[in-house]
Amino acid sequence: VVAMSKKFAIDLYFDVISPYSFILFESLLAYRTQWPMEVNLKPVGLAHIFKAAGNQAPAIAVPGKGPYMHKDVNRLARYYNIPLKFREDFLTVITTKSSLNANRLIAAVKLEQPEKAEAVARALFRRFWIDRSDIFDTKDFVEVLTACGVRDVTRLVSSLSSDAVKEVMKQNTDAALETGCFGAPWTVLHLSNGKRESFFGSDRLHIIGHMMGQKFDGPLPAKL
Amino acid sequence: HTVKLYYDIVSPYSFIGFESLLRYRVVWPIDVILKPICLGGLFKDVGNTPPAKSCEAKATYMAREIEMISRHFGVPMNVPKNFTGHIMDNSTVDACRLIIATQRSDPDKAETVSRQLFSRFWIENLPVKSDDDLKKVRNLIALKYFANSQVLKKSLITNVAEMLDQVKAEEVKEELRRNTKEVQEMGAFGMPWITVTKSDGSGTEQYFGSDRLPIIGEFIGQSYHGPLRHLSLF
Repeated sequence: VVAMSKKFAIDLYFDVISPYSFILFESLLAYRTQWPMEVNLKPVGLAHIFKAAGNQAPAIAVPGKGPYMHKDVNRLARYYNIPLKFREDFLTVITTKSSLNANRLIAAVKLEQPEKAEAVARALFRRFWIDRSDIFDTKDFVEVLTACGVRDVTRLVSSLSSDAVKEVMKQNTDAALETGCFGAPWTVLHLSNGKRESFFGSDRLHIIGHMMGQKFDGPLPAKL
Repeated sequence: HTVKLYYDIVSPYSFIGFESLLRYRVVWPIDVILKPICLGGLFKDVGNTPPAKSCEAKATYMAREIEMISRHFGVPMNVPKNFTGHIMDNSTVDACRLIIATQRSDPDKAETVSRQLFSRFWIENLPVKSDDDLKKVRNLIALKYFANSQVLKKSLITNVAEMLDQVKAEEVKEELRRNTKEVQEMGAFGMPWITVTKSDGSGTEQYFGSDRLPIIGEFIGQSYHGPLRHLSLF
């Protein structure tokens, strides 16, 4: 195996409430064994992104998009081998609850125990999109962190509104918006000439790979 | 397997979908039926807005992405500086009617006429509006300067004046309306829209956009082989 001395930095901006974020999170990370890249997880609050960019959740902006996304996600689940599925009450969830704290939880863990951030993100995605249970309250976060073997669970969960965590979220959101983000997931690939390329959605792996001189051969087994 | 492609010339991803899907007739056992629609009408009826118009960041992103993605498929699309103006100020209703008129009288040429219209709008960035005055003009030499007549001639259609007349025929207008209503009733909210019905009648799936070929392949038990750039006609 040839050592990959030069790795491309990729910033992955996502919100756990976004199904296509889950798909990209797994399908991109699965390619770490094949592609020379360092993926930096950057949780954001999608509601803030939408507001700043003057965009809206697709299912709310155009009612017809909701039913289509349910079917699309079911198909993609089979293709990507990620058994995610919309909750029946998804529209109610996104209009009455906020995923901000779930995303802050990832940011909080990344600050203190960065080696656990990916596992926590995965656990939150799984919990909402596969188990189809909640990721909004303290008890949800305690369960997730405990299952991931994170230390100082109680303190971390109570730190979500701290200045440090809010600052990370603000930095992530500002950085995403600065590169033209209007929704999630949003991928920023840093090229060797100092330039950056941005990609919206979970359907651009073949292009992202191509820009690193690599080939996308379809989904690899996800780490689930 | 029967594939129906719903599209409008004004839609940039429709051009990408059109070229990439048609290319797959070479490697997949599919028949493709072309269904031009009126996207402006569809947007209005379902309460959607052209993405470039609804959100500036989307317009900026699309302008960059369309050039990149199209070249991935070997289609050299160009996005004019005034991207939103190009889409909003240039009606393609007559262009779509022209495709339907071709389907009715010279069906084998409908694909070429579509390609010529797409190329004119998205490679040359020129309008594809029909000139109302054309109905009055019988002189083919004068006609050669008008957009759609050029498109027809490049598509090797000989009865140019007759076809241009057909653009305003009630049956042609009605067919465009019918196609648009058909795709709307399926739940479409944008273009391109692709329906795939398996040859054994076991099911139909519908796909929005130009990035679902690998998923379509999975549905019909075929492998996706990438953009097949060697089959590009550009």
